[in-house]
Amino acid sequence: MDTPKLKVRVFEIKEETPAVKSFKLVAVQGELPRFSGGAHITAYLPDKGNSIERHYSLIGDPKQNAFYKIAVRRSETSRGGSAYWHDRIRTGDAIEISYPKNHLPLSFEAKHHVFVAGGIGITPFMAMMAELSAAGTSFELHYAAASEEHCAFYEDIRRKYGKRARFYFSSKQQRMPTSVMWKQRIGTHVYFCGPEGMITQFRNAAVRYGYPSSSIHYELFSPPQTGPCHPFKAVLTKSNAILYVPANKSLLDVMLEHGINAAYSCKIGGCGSCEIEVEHGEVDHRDFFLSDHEKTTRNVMIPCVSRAKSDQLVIHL
Amino acid sequence: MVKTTYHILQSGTLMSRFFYIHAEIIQGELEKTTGRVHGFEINGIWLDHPATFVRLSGGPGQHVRLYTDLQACSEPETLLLRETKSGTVRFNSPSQTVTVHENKHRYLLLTDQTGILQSLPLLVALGRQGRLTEVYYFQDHDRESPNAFGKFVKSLSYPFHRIRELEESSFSRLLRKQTVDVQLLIVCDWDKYSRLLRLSRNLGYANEDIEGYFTGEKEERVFCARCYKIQKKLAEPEMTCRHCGTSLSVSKHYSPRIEAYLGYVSL
Amino acid sequence: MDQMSDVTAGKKIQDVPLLDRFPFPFTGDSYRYSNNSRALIPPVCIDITPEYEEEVIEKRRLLELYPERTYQSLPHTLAAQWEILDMLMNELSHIYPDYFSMDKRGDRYTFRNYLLNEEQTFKYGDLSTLPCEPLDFIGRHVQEDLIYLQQRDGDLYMDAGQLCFPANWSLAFDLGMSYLQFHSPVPIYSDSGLAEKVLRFLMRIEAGKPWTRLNWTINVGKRLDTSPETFGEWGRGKLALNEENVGHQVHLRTEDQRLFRISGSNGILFSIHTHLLPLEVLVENRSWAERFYRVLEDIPDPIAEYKGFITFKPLMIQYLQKYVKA
Repeated sequence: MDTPKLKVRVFEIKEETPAVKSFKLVAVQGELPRFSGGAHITAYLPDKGNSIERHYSLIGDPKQNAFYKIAVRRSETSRGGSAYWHDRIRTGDAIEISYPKNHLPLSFEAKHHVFVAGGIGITPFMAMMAELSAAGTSFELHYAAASEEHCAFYEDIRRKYGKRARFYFSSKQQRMPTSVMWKQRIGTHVYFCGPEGMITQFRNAAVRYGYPSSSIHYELFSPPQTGPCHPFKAVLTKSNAILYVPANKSLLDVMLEHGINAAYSCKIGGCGSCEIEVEHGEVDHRDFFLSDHEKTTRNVMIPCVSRAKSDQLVIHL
Repeated sequence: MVKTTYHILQSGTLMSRFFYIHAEIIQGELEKTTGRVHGFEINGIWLDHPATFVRLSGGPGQHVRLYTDLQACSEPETLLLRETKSGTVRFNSPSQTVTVHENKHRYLLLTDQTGILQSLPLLVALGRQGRLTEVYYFQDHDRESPNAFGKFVKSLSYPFHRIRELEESSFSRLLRKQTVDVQLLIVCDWDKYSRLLRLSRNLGYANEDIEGYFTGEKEERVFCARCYKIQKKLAEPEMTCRHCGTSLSVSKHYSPRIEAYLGYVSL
Repeated sequence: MDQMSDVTAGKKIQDVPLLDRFPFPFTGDSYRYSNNSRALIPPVCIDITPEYEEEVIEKRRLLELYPERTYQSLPHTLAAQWEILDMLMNELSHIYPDYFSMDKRGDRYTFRNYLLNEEQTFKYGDLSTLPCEPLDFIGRHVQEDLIYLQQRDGDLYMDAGQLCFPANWSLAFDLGMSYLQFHSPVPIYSDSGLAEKVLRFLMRIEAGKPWTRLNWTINVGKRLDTSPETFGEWGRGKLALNEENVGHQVHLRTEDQRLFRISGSNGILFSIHTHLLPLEVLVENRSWAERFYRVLEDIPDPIAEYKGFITFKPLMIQYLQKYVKA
């Protein structure tokens, strides 16, 4: 798939916390496209001669498009992205990124927005809060971090949003309870971003508290952990190809390796861009895009994360 | 249409007006918890009157309670029903259903005189599950007869509020102060139903937060493609615009914003 | 808009014959509804054709006389409208530098249209510095109809639009409708599950990767404004068709539609450029005549009826048959 790319230059690097750095990016030529709160870009980073894709939420104020700002946390188990940003990138370096995409948009009909952030999960909410604040729309933030020192944008958030933001530091034994969502006014929408465990806990609580599913929003930064993977075979009827998908690769990866013109975007099972039709075989759904109903009634799958329950899948591609 | 068959266990009358049957399923399946059917068959005789039902669990088989308004029945029909103590009752798949969402914590039932028949099974379903319910009854005129329905609701230990008239600004205050765990159940005439639906959506209630249906006739409107003015929809698809005199052919294309069907100019 | 102070003759557009540039919508010998979108390469929205001046003047005439019919917008679309204006002005000045220029000094913009000798200076985001809403303003400089679809709460809504040349649909009526709602009159498309599929596709369109598709219908007469509001004016044409005039009166009407993600407001710009080709010119291209003939022979009745030509389809087929190899 030919993905159009933007060329940007690193304009400024700032250490937000000992583990988090923020990067301001400016266009090499022309203007940067505008973005909406919750949007992210994909950075194409060099990695041992190849290029890897990593997604970063845009944290700046969407009202301006003079620069993009992202924040990256150094991860011990880095799959390549954070190490590159923390150790290799210098001011003035040029990199390629995608156009902005939004898989976590603000609800238009919501009367009140509740943001729940765990660690680096604060990033999408930075732009969303700037947008809502400018519009005078009601919101509140609940932000869990290890400590004040390790809480990215702590001062910035307190200064701008005052009592609308509440912090929970694990070093002070402060836990962020799901009850922050309890008995909120009608028309409240809740948004979660952070570790998968936190998201699962809050999603389940929101349903128990009576939130309709259309009022619950979340974004994962990495694919959900869904158990051991088994290899399987994929027969592509329109491409006349038989592909072997090993345990450590996704069907989408294998299709792209074979030059199949497969669409995709997030690659973590959340956006639906890579959705394909399944003619035969039992799908092992591991995405968080299709509804439970769709998983059982529509003959489709999300190949960037989903696999096969049977040995073989026959795909209409 | 699939008819399900039930074995009558018990029958009775509520509020001296609503006849009910308590029955056990013997053939077929009832998927929905509660709803309305156009008619039902009792011991082989078809009664062409709306009836509402609620599916009850408990016991080995699936039980159901069916209600109908004796005021709508003829004398012989009323006699027949009052004498029915046993036998079978059958009815088709429901034309309208109401889903009570399990994860909600409070239920507001908004109804009026025309909605009592539909409210009965809902209240029974909610009561059996021990759900917190409040009833808001819109009185259509001051001379409405003493409220047997109100007494019935209070006998279930539910708060019962009688409201003189549906006045948007005052009722919106009540709706607005509700919390996210509330479900609205709206069963009343078309005018109030459409107004309540619009009001609650504007106040932030999600589509899933609102369940219900309207009773009686729907007052439909037509938007004239030529002059943009709105008028009442008639039975025939061909009509003349009252405002500009253009011949119109009324289509099925509906605008939720304008609340009218598009009347195309016809030659 | 201000006239430019220096007197320069309006720029002329190169006249390429209609048959050489008409977008022929049929890729096979039969036509069915499908998602026939393909990636738009190059990613350009606006197409300036020799009919520019005539069509823009006609568009502006309709906008002045019938504002409620031709322009509608919901208040929350203003930010998106500014973004669309910015995007299209950027495009026009880059792709057609002989016809348009844009000068940006901070948020002070000066836009010049050399084809019509017009100039406008305004401040981005300040409604008081433009004579009308941003979408309305930029629409008056292009031949395309411009529709803005807002992506909100999991659906697409027609929340703003400038529509002067509709193929028998009403913006005044459809404003605020969701995608499935405004497609409900289209038979087969709306009840086969195809509309839902296309909706999902549209919601995943990404910035930087626009899409395009061709839609078509039949026109009797060379009239672009075939709005339902004026059906009384153009609807009778089909009643006066006969063997002598069918080639001249009946036109193939193609809509070149282009879809762009507007990333600031996360909505979609849907542009429609309408082209008309009379049958008597179409048949000069023998392969087109043959293909169109076969499409008409095969087309299902509900589609022919919805597109308004079922009553004179035999007349069209009879006309085209003369140009088809035995």
